[in-house]
Amino acid sequence: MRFLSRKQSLVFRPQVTWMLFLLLTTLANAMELHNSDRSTLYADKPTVIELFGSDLRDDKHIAARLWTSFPATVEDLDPESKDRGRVRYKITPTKPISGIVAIRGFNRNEVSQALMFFATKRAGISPPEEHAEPLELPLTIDLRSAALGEQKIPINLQPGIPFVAEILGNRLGSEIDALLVLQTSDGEELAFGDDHLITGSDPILRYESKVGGLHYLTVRDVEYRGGLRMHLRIDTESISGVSFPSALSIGETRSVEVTPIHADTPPTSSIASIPAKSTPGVAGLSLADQLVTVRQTNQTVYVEGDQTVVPIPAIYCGRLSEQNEMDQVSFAAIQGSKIRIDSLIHGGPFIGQIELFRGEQRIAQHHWGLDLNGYLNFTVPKTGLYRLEIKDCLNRTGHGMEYAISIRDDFTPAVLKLGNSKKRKKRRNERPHRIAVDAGESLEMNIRVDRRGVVGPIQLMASLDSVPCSPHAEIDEKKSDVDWAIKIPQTVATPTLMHLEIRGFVQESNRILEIPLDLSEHSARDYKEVTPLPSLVNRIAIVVSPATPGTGNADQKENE
Amino acid sequence: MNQIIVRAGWVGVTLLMIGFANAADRVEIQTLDVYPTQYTIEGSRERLQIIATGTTVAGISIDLTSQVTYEVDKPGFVSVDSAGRVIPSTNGSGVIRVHYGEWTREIQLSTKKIEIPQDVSFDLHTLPALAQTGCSGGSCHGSPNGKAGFRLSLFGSDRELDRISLTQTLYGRRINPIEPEKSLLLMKPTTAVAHQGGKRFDQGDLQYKLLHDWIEQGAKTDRDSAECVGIEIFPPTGRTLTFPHANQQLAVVANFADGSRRDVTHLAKYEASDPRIADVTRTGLVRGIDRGESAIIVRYLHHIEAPLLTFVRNIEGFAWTDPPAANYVDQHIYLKLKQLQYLPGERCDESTFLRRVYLDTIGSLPTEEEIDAYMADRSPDRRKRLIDRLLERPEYAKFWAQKWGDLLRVSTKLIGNSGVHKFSRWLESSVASNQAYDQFARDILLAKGSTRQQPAGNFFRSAGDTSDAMETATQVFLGTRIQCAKCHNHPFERWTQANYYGLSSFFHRLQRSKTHRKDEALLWSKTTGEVTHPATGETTKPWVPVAGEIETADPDRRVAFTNWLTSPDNPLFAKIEVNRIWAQLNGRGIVEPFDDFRDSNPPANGPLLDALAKDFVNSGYDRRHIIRTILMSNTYQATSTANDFNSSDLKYFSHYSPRMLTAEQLVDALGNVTGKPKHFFGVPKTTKATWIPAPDLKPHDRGKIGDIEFLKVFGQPERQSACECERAKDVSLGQALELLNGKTVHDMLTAKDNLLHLSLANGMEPAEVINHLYRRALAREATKAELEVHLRYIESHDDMSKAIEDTCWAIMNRNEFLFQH
Repeated sequence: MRFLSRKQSLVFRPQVTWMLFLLLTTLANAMELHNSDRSTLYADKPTVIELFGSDLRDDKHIAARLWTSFPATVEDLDPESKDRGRVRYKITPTKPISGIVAIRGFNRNEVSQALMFFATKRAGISPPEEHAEPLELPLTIDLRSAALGEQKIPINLQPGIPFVAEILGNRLGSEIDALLVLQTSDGEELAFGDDHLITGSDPILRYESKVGGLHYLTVRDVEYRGGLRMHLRIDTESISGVSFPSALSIGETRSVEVTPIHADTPPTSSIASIPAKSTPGVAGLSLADQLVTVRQTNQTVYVEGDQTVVPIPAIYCGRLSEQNEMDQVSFAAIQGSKIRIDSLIHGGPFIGQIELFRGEQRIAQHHWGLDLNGYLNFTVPKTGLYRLEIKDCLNRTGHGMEYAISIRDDFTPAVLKLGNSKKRKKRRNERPHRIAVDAGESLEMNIRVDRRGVVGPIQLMASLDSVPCSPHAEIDEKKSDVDWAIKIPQTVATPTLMHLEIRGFVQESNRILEIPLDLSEHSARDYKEVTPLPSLVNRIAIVVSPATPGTGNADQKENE
Repeated sequence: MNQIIVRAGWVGVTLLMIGFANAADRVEIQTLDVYPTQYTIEGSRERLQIIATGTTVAGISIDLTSQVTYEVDKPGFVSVDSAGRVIPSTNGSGVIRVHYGEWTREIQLSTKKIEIPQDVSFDLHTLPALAQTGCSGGSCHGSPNGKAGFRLSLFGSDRELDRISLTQTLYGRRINPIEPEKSLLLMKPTTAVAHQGGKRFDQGDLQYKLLHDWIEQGAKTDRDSAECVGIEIFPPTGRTLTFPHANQQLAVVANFADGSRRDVTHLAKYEASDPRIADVTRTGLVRGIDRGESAIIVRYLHHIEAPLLTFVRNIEGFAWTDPPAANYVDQHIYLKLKQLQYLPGERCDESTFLRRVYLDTIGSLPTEEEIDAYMADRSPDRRKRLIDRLLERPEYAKFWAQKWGDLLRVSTKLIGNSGVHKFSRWLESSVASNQAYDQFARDILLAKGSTRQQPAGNFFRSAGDTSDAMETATQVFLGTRIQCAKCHNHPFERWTQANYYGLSSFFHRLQRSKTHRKDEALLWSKTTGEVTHPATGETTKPWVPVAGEIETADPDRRVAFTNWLTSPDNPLFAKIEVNRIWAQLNGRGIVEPFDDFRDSNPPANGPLLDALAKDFVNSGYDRRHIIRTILMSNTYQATSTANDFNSSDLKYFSHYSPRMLTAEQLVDALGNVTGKPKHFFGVPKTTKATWIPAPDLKPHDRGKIGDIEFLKVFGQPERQSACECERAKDVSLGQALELLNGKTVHDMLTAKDNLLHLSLANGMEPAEVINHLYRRALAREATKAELEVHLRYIESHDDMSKAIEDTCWAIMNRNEFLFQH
């Protein structure tokens, strides 16, 4: 080996710098799922998909295992491939699936964020060429936005028959801010669809062509960003709908009214069932052939018209269907208790304005127009019955004006956050909310609390896939964090992806109040845009692997 | 003419003969009218201005005020000077006879309270005198911060402020009641001591005497004096004066809240809106300079009127050719041109029209194929059919949406990247679908909810607060620059500070809340909230021009404003837009600047503006219809070459006014000629400069500074202001350098795959290449002489490709290419 002189060693040659950069980049890579060639999965048959990301194969070129939010079998179609950036899988649901589903990649060392898909009986085809034969309706296409460009899809329209073109993109966690433009074969613009009142950045375009024949539907990201996945669906009716009630209790099965956004048809009834193991958050369900976004919750859901007085904590669901309509609901509250009233629906047309009365005296008010993410907090001055008045600040009615108001007296403004555990030696590429452990290992965690005025010791409880973990932990009254070693179950045959849920409790005035874990600062790195399914990202994803000598933390500990 | 007052009480009859025209010079008239026919002068300091007007046999009005003789029937009662100014002497009543040749008219006059010493009124004399001399003007002590430590309210709009400034500040040193002539207030404007503002009046002037007497009398302010509620001007607006009789004396009467009236001609301030057409003396005598129209801005205290005078001159050799009118546009234009004796230009040739109409409608030059197709069309209505085709093209929507983007300040700095794209897309769609203009305005001004779902609501993100929203809305939709009135009454217009805050109250309740999504605001209206006048501390009521204060039941007051704005009864709304369209097609507005409507800035052709506005309203606010109407007129299609009888016209549209291509048009045109269109950051490669949704999509990159700066050098606006003036139209050295040896032009010319080099590589003869160049750049073939010059140069050059580049460069630097003509 020829040693570089001091002078030479100080000079970084471009090639060396580039190699160093590549090396560091590789080291810094973690398993990530960035994209897929498809946005849809067949509801009841195998789907071949190609996933794009990083570290999707390990050093031995073994493809990442897939966790699916539905029961399915998964097969790596190219086991000989060495490409770590893209892997083809065949995913076969073991029973029919619907709505928005999720997939994560993982191996014994790391786990990716979730990538979401729309489960449908008619999965999307690949986008056609601009000069291809016009496509007949109905059709569904999975596509990715063209960088600094757009995709022109030739379609054959029937005169006098209305059709709906809609995009599912943002609802699948994609950053796409889609735009649809319908043009004649001569390039004359007939209609365009941009943000929709209910579906947000996923546009819906409805049009009735008088002449029929060849038309072009142009699809693009409004900012001309490329590579963003979406699903285009063109049919006579939209599949985007709204449900009432718009919140459902976990573990509950109930009848809901589903109204298509773009149809003049009356609402239809459907049975919705939220599995008991679900976690609170947003879910995309397929009900009465409509994709609806509902809030699944641990609280009891009460519906407008059923009761005028509700016991709290409660979720109160209603809708504003007439101009200047104002809904009312009452609840009993005990003096000294702290009430928090929040809207579960943000991003839709409903911009609530609530006023709280005791008798005829207004006690408090909140306007979500002023503070969209805020809530009404007040301390009950006197035990008695309180009346809540709910209206929309823009006096709007119609689709999307379904609201879900959470009224809780068991909640605190405090939040738990993940801290840096000095005891745990992190695995390579580990993220605080996406970690890998060995079975039987104790997971060292540091939990911080942002007390926001809450005093007293805080009890911490954890559950892994809804199974309680031991031991519990406690943040001392005068402290703001605790190191906690959570016991991981001993028995797993193969690396298994589980979800860890952590909740805090504090006793205040003979009541047990809940403190949630806030993972938003971590999940924000996974999703630049607000993901539609916080129920997936509000939990810590943990890969639990059988302890294998030579790997994992268990071995490290043994060695120590 | 001398102003000599002859008091001839000793003869029993006052007779003034000064200024009497010789019988030979006397104009034959068929009527003589005097103004006023009866009047009462109350107080020794009051005056009266008489106006005598004759009408000739040809129906022409002539101001005879200084040519008639005045006879007062009672000695010592009043005196009248040669300019028709009446000064009272004693109480009484009598008759002033006005003689002109054989014509005589009488004025019944009475005088009161003349014997009672009349104090100088602070409100009626002192403040107007300060305004008349310019002391309280916006550029002097009336500016918001005053001048040299001395601050007055603008034109006496705040008497309390003025009282304190004059009598108390600077320890009261500005006035000296013991020795009034030693007061700074008199010594400064007479330059007895150094005065930065120069001499404003002399010791013998009326203004000096008023201020002197006011100080001498103790510098008192009035108690319970009636407030002035408005002024009237005689003659009223619309009088036409014909050279050589192009002078006109004005008379100004102020009306007061108690019902009284006073002649304030001697205290009013005068200014001509177009100093090339007329000037006006301090005494209110208007003197015509050239043919044309000018408003005379008359101000008394903060009241303004602007009567319009038309000056006509007989041009030797002029004969009206009675050209046929294509539509009502031509009828109105020709009527004005005939009156002012300008001869309209002939219709331009086909290639000129083709190039012009392409640039105006879709913003780019016609391609060679389009030129061929048009020239091959021999039908008589080919121009009409071309216009119809162009107005249906998508490029039309993109190009005109960009113009709206300039006005509505669509920029990433203000509304973010996605906001820019969404708002631009909405604008483009609005133009493409030919959305009715009133609905367009309603969509913008009444937007509520998410700005992502209501892209028009981004207007309220660009205009991010109450003042900004009101100022931008009034500038865009009312053509009114009201910003000045935020701090003081408008210096050139009747807008007051109260008006400003009255208009602001419509937008005050609008709330803009941030959401969790980027580039999104939530627009909603509070149900309460009032605007407070900063000077008075009082709550201002919603106020709109013409209609005044309006009551509104809807808590979102934007609804009331927009209803009033878009009402067909609103005289301004339609006019603003048709004038804007006119300006965009003709290079100059009928009112110019086209977003500055005010009485003191009259239209070049009022009847035409009215007719266009009426047509616009009747068509359902159809913008495409108005564009088509203007494009179809002979006025638009006139040649830009002036003839002997219209070369001096810069205002009345007798011929097409050439103008330089806009920055975006120029970039596209350069790309069109060389076949190397420019590409822009953040948009597809096929995007033309005339379609770019915002000027600031490209991040600053010094490595590409030549690319960035080209558009800026040629005036691309930053969109930081709603004013059209932000688009620079001045010619600069930077532009010359860019065209001579700038990077953009150089890269386009020297690209090996541009059309020039490809043509040569394909074996095309130089003459043919040159012809193609001419067609792409100028929409015409090269003339024989031009071709010879170019070929001679190419033959003299060793490197043909370099020579062709030079030839193209020469063509691109011709005025014929750089200008729309």
